[in-house]
Amino acid sequence: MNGSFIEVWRPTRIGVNEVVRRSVGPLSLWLKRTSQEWLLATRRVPEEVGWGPPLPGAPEPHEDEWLRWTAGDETSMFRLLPVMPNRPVVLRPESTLAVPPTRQALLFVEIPIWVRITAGAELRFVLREEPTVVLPRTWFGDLASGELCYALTTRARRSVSPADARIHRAVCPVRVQNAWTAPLEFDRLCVHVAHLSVYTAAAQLWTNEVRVTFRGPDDPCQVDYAEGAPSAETITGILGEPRAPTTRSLLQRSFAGLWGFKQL
Amino acid sequence: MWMSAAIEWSEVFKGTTVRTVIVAVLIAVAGYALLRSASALAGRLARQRLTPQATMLVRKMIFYIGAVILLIVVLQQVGVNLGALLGAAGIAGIAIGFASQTSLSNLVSGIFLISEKPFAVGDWIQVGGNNGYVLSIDLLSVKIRTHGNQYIRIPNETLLKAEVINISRFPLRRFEFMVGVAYKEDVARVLELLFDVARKNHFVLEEPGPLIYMKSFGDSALEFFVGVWHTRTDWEEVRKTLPQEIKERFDAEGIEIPFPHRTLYTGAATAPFPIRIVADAPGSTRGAVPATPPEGAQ
Repeated sequence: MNGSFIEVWRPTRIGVNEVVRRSVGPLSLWLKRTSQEWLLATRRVPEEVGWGPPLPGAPEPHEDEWLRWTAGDETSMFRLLPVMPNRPVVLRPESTLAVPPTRQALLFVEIPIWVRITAGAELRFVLREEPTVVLPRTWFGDLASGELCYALTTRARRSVSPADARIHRAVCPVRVQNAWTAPLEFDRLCVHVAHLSVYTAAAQLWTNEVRVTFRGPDDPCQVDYAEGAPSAETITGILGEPRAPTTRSLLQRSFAGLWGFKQL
Repeated sequence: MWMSAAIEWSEVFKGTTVRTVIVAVLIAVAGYALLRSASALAGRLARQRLTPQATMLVRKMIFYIGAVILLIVVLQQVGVNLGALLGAAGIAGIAIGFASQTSLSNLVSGIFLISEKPFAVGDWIQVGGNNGYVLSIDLLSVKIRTHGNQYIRIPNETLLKAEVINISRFPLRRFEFMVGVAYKEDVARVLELLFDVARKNHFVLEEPGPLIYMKSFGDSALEFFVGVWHTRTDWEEVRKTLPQEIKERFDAEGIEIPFPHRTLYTGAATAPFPIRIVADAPGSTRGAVPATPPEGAQ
């Protein structure tokens, strides 16, 4: 896995009329360059039915599956980059989590990445962004002023095992601090992933750490997006820049528990 | 009669010369240009702080008040005796007042609409039997464009009196409809399938969750209520895909969606209706034999 894991994110040269095939988990991409155009086709298999790189004899996309971009022949390079989803992600632990008063918990959440396909001079021309897994959409907040998010059911593990590494998911460390006087019980946690970068380690993608401080059900949470890579991991470099960089502490409504969604 | 009217008008234009007329025309032209500029400038300044409707109101008020002042100045310049003019126009004024009653009502209604803000330009509203996107909110009327690309002008007075539904005010909407299944079907299984179809539809939001339950015992079917949430921009996709997906899933699972039907019987004391099964192909009348009531049947 390591070889292909690193390879897939490297800039690649493509000849005229050559077709290059790449796989990022359930997402398969075909890229083709002519003297005047870039062409891209994508296919996705449901994550739960199993996935892997397309078989060598797998048929090429049909004509109507290709998307075309007019471009000059100034470059023959393209690159795939991992980025976070384009909307906040509502994390739903498989069972309700509770954090005692004045305590904190570090959770590891695997978020399916999006793939940004770039080409052109200095690889600045973004052809497209494709999700590796199409997450269901959900609403976080009240009906009048909430926000549209993706829903992600997670095991919210307390540790990371290399055996669970998957090329199309980035591990996001979420540190939950309960600064309230009562236990924090929640079954929804909204993370604004637009503020997260994507880093690469040996065989796993990582994001920077999210620190959420809960100060009571009536107050917004204080959310900090740590600068730099998570310290516990052997990070080899940054691959994906955040969509909306921030260095400030943000006040955001982040949790929904037994008191939260009843309002809906 | 006409003689006295002529004398009145000669009194009105008493002392007018060519020179004064030329000066008055110049004042009118320059004043009009100034008014347009002032109105546009006020619009630009108001746009930074006010809504499009309020901006439009400010612009028009400045223009019309300025126009009245300009008219008075021009008339005074040409030597018009305003007192006499107003006297001559008194009766006409009353007549015009009666005639413009509706317009004034619309105007006042327009001011109320703009201040109350039940909708804004770009909203999707429903008024009476019409619904469409609001193109403009003017002093006398609101213009909307329907989905069929028709242009409808609705007087403000009508809007103020009518029930207006602002369909796009909130970001979420619920699509509600009924589904009927045959009485023989397992209710729990039907509910499970409906929830599964809703969950798998890309446009249906996971939360707020779908509301699906068996609502009533219909004449021909068990009736299930289906209510799913979606964003306001996805309303068309949800309406197009979800009922079709339910039908396809029911067909695949062998769930019967019955058409309206009635079962006839002649009472407990009578024999059942005789039915003879004909083995020919559907639609063929060959070989069909009229049913013969058994002896004693009524």
